[in-house]
Amino acid sequence: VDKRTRFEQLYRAHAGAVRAYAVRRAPSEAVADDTVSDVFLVVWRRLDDVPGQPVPWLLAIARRSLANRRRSDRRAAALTDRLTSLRRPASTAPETGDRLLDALATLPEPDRELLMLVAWEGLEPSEIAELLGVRPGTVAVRLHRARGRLAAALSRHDSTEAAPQEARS
Amino acid sequence: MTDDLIEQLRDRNPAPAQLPPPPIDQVLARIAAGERPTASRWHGWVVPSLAVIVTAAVAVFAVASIGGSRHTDQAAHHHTVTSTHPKPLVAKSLAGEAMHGSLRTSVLAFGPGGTGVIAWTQYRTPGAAHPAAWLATTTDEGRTWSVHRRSYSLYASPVFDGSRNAWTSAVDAHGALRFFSSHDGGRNWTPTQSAGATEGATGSLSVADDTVWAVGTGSCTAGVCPWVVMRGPASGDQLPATANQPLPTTNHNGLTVSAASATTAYVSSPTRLGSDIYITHDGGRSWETIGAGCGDGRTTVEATVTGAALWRVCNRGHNFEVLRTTNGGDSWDEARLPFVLGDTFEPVTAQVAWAAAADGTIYRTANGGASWQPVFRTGGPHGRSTPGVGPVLSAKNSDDASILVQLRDGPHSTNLIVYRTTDGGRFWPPTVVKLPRG
Repeated sequence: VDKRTRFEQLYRAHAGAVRAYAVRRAPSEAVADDTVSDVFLVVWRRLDDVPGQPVPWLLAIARRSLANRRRSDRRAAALTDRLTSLRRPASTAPETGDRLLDALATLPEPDRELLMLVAWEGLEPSEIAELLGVRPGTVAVRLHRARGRLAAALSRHDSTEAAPQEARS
Repeated sequence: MTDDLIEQLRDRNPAPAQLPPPPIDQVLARIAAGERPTASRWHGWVVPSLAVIVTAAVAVFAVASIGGSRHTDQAAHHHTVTSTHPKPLVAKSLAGEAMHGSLRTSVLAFGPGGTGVIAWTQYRTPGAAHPAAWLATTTDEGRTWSVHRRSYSLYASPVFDGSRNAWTSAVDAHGALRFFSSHDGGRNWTPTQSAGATEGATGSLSVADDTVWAVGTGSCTAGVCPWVVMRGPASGDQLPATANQPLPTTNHNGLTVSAASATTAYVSSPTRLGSDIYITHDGGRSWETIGAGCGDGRTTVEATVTGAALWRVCNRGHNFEVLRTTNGGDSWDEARLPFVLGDTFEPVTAQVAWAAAADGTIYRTANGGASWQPVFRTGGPHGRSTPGVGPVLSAKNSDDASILVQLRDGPHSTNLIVYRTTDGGRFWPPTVVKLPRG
């Protein structure tokens, strides 16, 4: 199989999964598409390094690509804001109207990412370990803590919601 | 409890299934262009950011000197767009795709049904006595291009009708500049019979309702050439003069025509003698003029009609202004340009226009010129089509525009890349036009 054919096979098999991953994390579908494009540029350059089970490896590239884009967006925004003296509201997680998603949004990024990889990407702890570059045991411990923090965040969210209603009654 | 939370979270997956990926062609084009992923394109980001700073500084100055909230909004707009999707172009070597000699590249247009045309002339070909003329055509919206050697050299971007007819100005095999027509989507061209000779300028031709309008020059006497307005069916090969001619005999050059229909057309003249936009509503039998709008001492470079609006570019020396009227010329609004206008100004509706700035940046307005957003940067002098000249811009409608960029990565290596957006300038997937080895 020549390089081009192998590349196209990989693209057909996994580009959809990479795009789904990116759509869940990117600010827009256009950025998600750019991320897919970035991931497969790397694939083309490192075709010999693609592992037998490529999804965690591909998602790790997508994760780095999105992080780079967020950094560059923040720096560009900060520079422009300073010059134009525009004031933006402090960055706050958008409220979705869904208590679970709102609670998820309040978690630290590592916790949030871990839970999303389990729930939305459907990855096993061993695959997450490969993606994050840590040992499987570490993933299990972090995941346990993240679940606990999500439950706590949900309780806080529910009690905050309930308080104004009690005050009114 | 916590496992239950994971299950609940699973039910809230915003993208529960695999999504269709973007077309692989976009990735292959980036590979062919030698692009690197975003992670290593950080340095490409810094330059646009500095450009944003300059633009923002201009906006701040406008706020300070004029006041009002509109300009603050404009600055915010600049930020929003430029921080989302600038596509800085980084010149890269394309191994095996180099063409020797220098290219003159100014022809790019997309027609209906996926057709498109690029043309270039290759100078200083090793061992060749004359420049070589090349044409690249596509039938799949620019995803793939086939390259053809031709005996004639297209000189201006073609105009298409609603089918496969197209018109342009080209240098024929004997070196004469003539109107050419194509009836196969731009792949093959033949010279036409016309009442006047073309100057070759962009704007010499315009098509509406299957009718082609043209401006050119008649027989010259003592260096003074009469202007001729012509009109004919786009599917034909002849351009007869209209029944009456609107223009005084003049030795000024640079007339343009903009067709609104088979019977209505606008002709602009750069002459300072009286009014300088002429209109016909009866196919050229009678003409009237629009009152001057360019201001004292300024002349019209071109006038373009886009449905409910007439756009006009004025100049005095090297300063350009863009004006717009929506009431037939009774009053004109000035479009405030936060950049120096370059070669191309392409209004496509009453509200939307695309423009190439002198520094190679492409701008777009969606509010009749009240504010402009930079939507594409060529990334420096390597992205210029010729030294000192911006990239070639061709706009088809509000969402669809394309840019032809000539990349030089050495004295003997040149490549062409077409960037095309179909979403109003947010995303510009590139396609490399593979040049034959010269």
